[in-house]
Amino acid sequence: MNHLRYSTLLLILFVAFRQDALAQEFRFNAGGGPITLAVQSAIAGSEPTDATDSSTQLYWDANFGVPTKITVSTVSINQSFRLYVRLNVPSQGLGGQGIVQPEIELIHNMADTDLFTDIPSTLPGRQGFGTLIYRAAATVAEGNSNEHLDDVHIVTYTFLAQ
Amino acid sequence: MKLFKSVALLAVLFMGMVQVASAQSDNHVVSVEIQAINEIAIAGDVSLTISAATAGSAPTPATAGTTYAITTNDSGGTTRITASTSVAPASLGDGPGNDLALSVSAAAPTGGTSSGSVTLGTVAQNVVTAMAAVSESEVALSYTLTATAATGQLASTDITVTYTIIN
Amino acid sequence: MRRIQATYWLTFAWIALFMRISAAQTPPPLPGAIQLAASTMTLSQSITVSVQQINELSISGDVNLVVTTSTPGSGLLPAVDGASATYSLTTNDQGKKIVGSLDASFSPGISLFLLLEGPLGSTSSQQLLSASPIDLVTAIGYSAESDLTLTYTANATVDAAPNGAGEFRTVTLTLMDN
Repeated sequence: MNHLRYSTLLLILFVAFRQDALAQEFRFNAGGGPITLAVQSAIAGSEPTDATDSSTQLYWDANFGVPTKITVSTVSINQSFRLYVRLNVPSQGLGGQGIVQPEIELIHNMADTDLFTDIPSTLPGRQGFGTLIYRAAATVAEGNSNEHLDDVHIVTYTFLAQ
Repeated sequence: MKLFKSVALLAVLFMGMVQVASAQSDNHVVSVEIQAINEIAIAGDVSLTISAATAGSAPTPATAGTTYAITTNDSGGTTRITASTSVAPASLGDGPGNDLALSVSAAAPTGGTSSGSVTLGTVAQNVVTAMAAVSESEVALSYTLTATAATGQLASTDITVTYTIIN
Repeated sequence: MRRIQATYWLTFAWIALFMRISAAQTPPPLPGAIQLAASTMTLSQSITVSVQQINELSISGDVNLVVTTSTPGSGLLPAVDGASATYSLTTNDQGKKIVGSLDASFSPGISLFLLLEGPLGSTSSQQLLSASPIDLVTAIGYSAESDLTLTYTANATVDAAPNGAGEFRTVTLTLMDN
């Protein structure tokens, strides 16, 4: 009877530990708050100069037990101008493993699009960080915010098993 | 009242988003240089033939005319036109007289002074003086060719008359 | 029996130790990030793209016009230059125009005309320049064009006396609302 009681308790604790041992992490390591990109200048004769921002950093621990990836999507009703994002993952020794995808154009209601893939499931490669580099662009033909109002994006990053 | 407040709030918010239209300027330097310009053109050639006389008098002079056009931007009031010939008329003719004479009377453009009838030779002489800046065309040139019996005869001979504007 | 109990209790303690270490590794979220349910692996961020009205105009090159000849009896021949200077412009607005002016008039007898090559869709006309701004190109819409020509024509009457190295003036072009 005691064996049964203790075994049951042991089993419960084992399962709880197993769940805790597989905990993933995905967070903003820097920034993450609202950002405004202002396209506000041009060289005479050329299209307006892009605006960029690289103040946001992601951190992840892909403890899924399987290869993992990060995807991106956005919602921006009445979008008039163009917004792009890419993830810059610097060399981190054995950490930060994965494949950086080319710069992605953020279009209202787009499907989740791969941003960083093939994150291994084992240490040290499964842990890493990278900088989100946003780029806003507008041609003269796209007008200005006086005509269309600003574009407001809610950009969503999803961390999931591949 | 609530509707008015909502509309007023919306207007204030929208005004905050409107950007004042801007102007953008640039400049560069443009220079205009006016050089001294003196241009004269004679309308056409002239032919003079002495072919008759009244018995007992010198041969009858021959006369002919043409015009000239002139442009000068010298405004000093001292611009003049001189004239000279390629060959001394007095040296022409097969007689002993050496007295063939070619003269010209040049009308003056507006503002200038004609020198009247001037006997031409190889040395330039004033035919119009005291011109200011002017641009005028079809100004008269009147030629007179005179000879005496002693001049003798002269086959058709070209004489080039050169007019020069001097500031 | 006691040995069995001791074994179990040691095992429980060992498991509890690792659970506590794992729980301690999760830091609080950063301020400003949009908060989501702890069970989801997503992050969201608000990005605003603002495009201001942009109007840029740039002139390249100075111009020297020389009046040197005339047709006798017909006044001085104008000096024309359409190759020494160009301009470039960028505007992401509509209903714009370019006006031009001089910083000072020329001497009597000298007049300066300017014809700008307008960007696509606009209307341009040759105009006499003076100290008062005058429309040179109108109906300018969205444009980003470079190396557009400026053709200057200097006219002079015989009243314009020879002026040595010339008279220098600053020509200003302004891109503005109609």
